[in-house]
Amino acid sequence: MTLLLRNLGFWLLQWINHLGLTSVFLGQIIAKTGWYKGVFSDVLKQTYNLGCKSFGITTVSALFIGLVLSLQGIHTLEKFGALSQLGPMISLSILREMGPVISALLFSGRACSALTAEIGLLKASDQLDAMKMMGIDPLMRVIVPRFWAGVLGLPLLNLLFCAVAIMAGYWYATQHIMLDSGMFWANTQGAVSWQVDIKNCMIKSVVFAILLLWIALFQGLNCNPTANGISRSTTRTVVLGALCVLCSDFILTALMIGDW
Amino acid sequence: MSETLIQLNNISLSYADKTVFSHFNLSIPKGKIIAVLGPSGCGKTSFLRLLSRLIQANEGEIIFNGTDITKIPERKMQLIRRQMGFMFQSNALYTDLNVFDNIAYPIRVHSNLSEDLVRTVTLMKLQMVGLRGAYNKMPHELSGGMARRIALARSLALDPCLMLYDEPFTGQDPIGMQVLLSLVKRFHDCLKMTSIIVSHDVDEVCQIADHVILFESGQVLAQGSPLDLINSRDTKVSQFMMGKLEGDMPFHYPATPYNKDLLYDTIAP
Repeated sequence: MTLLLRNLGFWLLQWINHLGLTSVFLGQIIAKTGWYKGVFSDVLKQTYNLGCKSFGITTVSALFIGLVLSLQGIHTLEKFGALSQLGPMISLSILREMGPVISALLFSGRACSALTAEIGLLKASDQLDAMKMMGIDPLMRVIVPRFWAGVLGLPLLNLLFCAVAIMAGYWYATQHIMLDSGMFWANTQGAVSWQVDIKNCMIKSVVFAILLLWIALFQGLNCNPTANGISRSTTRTVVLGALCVLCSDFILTALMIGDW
Repeated sequence: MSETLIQLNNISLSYADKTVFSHFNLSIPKGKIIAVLGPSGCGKTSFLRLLSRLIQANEGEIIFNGTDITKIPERKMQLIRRQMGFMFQSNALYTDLNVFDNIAYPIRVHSNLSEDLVRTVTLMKLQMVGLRGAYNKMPHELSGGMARRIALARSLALDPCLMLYDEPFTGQDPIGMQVLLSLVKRFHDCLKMTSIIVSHDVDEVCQIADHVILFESGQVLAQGSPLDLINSRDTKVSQFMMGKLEGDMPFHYPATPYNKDLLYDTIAP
């Protein structure tokens, strides 16, 4: 019993310590955000690496999710004679939940894992220390541009995801069951609110981006600089990232549901 | 004794399960080439990292040019590090930048020079190490010796007054080693800096060193001119300097007595 309590106490202390370290890390990122020569090119380069290079997987996933959603929607709604509501069903599902969540999960697997591995390798090969030795702050030059590039990139990917998924759903509905396209868009337009649905969709995406980048960069910078250490940190980035996205999605949805 | 550049007072450093330095004291004279020698694991690399504050001592003070670098904030340390060059054992070249940009990077960050001037200064640094022709190569396209010389050129990019070399001659062929030795000596003389070389290559480093410090288990075992140490009567010192197999330097890592770890008793009939 004493051993159990001791272990529990040790674990709790470690957890609090870890939480403190991560909070300080986020604070440092925000505090060190500032202007330096070449900041825009650094952020743009990282936006390309994190965002543009995730276009392919995001587009293909959105395409199939839109098609499946349309297929499932037709199958369910025609039982109730409510096929006219297919457009709102697809659009609201995508904008309110699937778009931000799935694009964040894809981003975590495609970009954040690569980010952790990259930072871990920079650390293992002394490149971050070399930067320090030149009187250059690696947090400012390496971490901060990647953080803001991710925070900029994920919401854009989310928009792309939503647009492609809705268009795929529309295409399937109009081609497969010959649903009237005017009805599809008219009902969608009536149901989707720019002020609420799209704004909340983007808020979710920004929150997920902050969480994912925070985890990925922290794991990369604090990994054990060995092959095994980097691999474990990369795995942790994906697992923690997915859990954080799903948990925070619940919290955000609970806060936003009044608007809907 | 010449003027002191760095003074280490009462330094202690330990990792989770190992004490590297305990109440360690040392003076580094200004303007000399100092060779730091010693068996693997005696704390040579940790010593270099302490001097540059890449790792923080648990206690004690390190006075560099009159400033205690263990107490100052990181922002101030960044300014002090501009006066230091560090050549890493792994070279630590930026893998996504080519040779030119690797060397130009610190110059671009710390100066307001026009791009034309940055280009001129960078090509001069490359010319000094004989690799101007390789300016557009990527680090993975370089041989080990070339990468080492590029790392040397980059660490000298900001014209430091203190140069720290971590095993600069490891893995070099005889010609490459002589090239590096002559470069280290030439830069030291031209830039009038202090150079600290951590190395295992006793013969080579003694050719250029003014002062040799021999470490053993986080303590200074001996120091003096290369000749003093080579002719030392201390058995440990002479064993290391001469590379003798037999002697007082321990071959085994500390362990429990041999018979306690053996399973002989349990498997014997």
